[in-house]
Amino acid sequence: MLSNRIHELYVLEGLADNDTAIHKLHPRAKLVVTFAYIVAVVSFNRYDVLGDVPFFLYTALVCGIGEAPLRTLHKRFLIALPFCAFAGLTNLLLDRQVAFALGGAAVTFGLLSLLAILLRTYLCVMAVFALIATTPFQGLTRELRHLRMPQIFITLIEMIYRYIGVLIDEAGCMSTAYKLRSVKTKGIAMKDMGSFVGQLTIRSFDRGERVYAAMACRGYGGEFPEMEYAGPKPGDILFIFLLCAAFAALRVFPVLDMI
Amino acid sequence: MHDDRDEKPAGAHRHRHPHGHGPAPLRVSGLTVRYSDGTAALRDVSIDIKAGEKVALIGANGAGKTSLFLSLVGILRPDAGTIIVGDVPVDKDHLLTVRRKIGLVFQNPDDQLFMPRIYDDIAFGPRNFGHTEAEVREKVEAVLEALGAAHLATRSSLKLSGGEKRVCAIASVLVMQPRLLLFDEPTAFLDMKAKARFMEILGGLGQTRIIATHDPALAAAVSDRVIVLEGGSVTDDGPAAEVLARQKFA
Repeated sequence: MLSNRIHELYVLEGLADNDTAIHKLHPRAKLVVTFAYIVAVVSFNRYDVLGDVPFFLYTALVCGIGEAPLRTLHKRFLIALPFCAFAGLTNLLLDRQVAFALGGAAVTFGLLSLLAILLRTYLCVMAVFALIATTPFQGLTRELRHLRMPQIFITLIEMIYRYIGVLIDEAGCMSTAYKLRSVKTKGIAMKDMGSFVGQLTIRSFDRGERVYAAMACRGYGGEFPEMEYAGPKPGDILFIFLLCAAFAALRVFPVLDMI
Repeated sequence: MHDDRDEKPAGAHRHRHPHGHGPAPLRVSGLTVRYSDGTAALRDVSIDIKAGEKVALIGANGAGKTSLFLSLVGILRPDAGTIIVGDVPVDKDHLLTVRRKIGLVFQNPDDQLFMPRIYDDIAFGPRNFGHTEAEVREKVEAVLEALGAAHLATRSSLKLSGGEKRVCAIASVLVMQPRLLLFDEPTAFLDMKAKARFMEILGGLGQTRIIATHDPALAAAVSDRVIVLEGGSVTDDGPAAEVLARQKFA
């Protein structure tokens, strides 16, 4: 059911209401640390797979302490998987130079590159999921605002996040109505897809206008309301410092390579 | 006269509003609204509603009921005429003040509930109007308690029944303590039990009230006065019993 999909869409935001040590950290601390983590993860050599492995620890710790169910996050990661796998497969086919032999089998640079892409995508996407699952959406956008991200981008992020549910809801209604009158076809036939998508766009636009009118009636003026703001505390600064230092150390001294 | 201080953009610090929360009168004079294709949604509509009056607005589909409501809150801009709520004109300079005074409950509660949790939906208005989080929490909890819907605060609107959604949509409006309440087809999609609950809630509200409805029984039950809209014009206006009898509804 599409309505269940919509509900799942906002499950991560529901997790952000928990009250764990990670949730209590200031959004800026988590945002900065996540950014530093992603920079550290993607900064390794394109064939370096082992260097990234210790970075699993961060997402595991955040998800563990933050009580974010890994299964839920992994399900969402599967959406990103085909895209990065496709990019990595191109390397596998084009870069066939042998890097080393493992138990008699040749390991090519293309294979290493594919593994590195998959691993890095996994780590980065999971870090972002962990951030979303432990930080209220409004806290994140407010922090982006405080970090001077242009307002237009923030409004776009907020609107896409809110209206994606409207779009899926409309698609669900139309899809149900279609299926009830087309018992012989599975899903929507290609010949009807054009008008289906066109109608969906128009209906979503109309619905979006009504939602916007309801928001405007309650004082919405182009920005989601700003809640009271308190800056990071010393503990948050310490969290940023310690984690960034740990990422830098793992980057400069690759533990597994040294072993 | 009205206070303009709350016309600052959302997100900025705002001063507390000095208005009381008593019912507000409404005066609409010569209101004409046209759609972009030139079709008239409302033609020379004039209505005078006293503070605290309970009015039903009846008319067929396309008669202009929703257009009138959207004009009253400044979503639709008039081509001619004026609207004054309390002592505040509805124009682009006073939109925030007007929207603070008027609460509009939409026909479809799904249009009004767009946040992940009901709590955030109800808190949306007070937050926009610059209340502190402590005040917002107090207001949201109070309105949910008053409507007997405290148990819905942490729920997603996607998982609620039609009646529960309607109660939450009303809560999202009442929390702003409006002085004029507009209900657009409030009993559409409701079963008998939910309809009875809605009537019960309605009985406890002291604001000036306009209910747009197709339902003459509802109009007779909750209104002192009935206004009939046809083709965008007011064709009848008077005490509920008389108008409904003239319209052959009673």
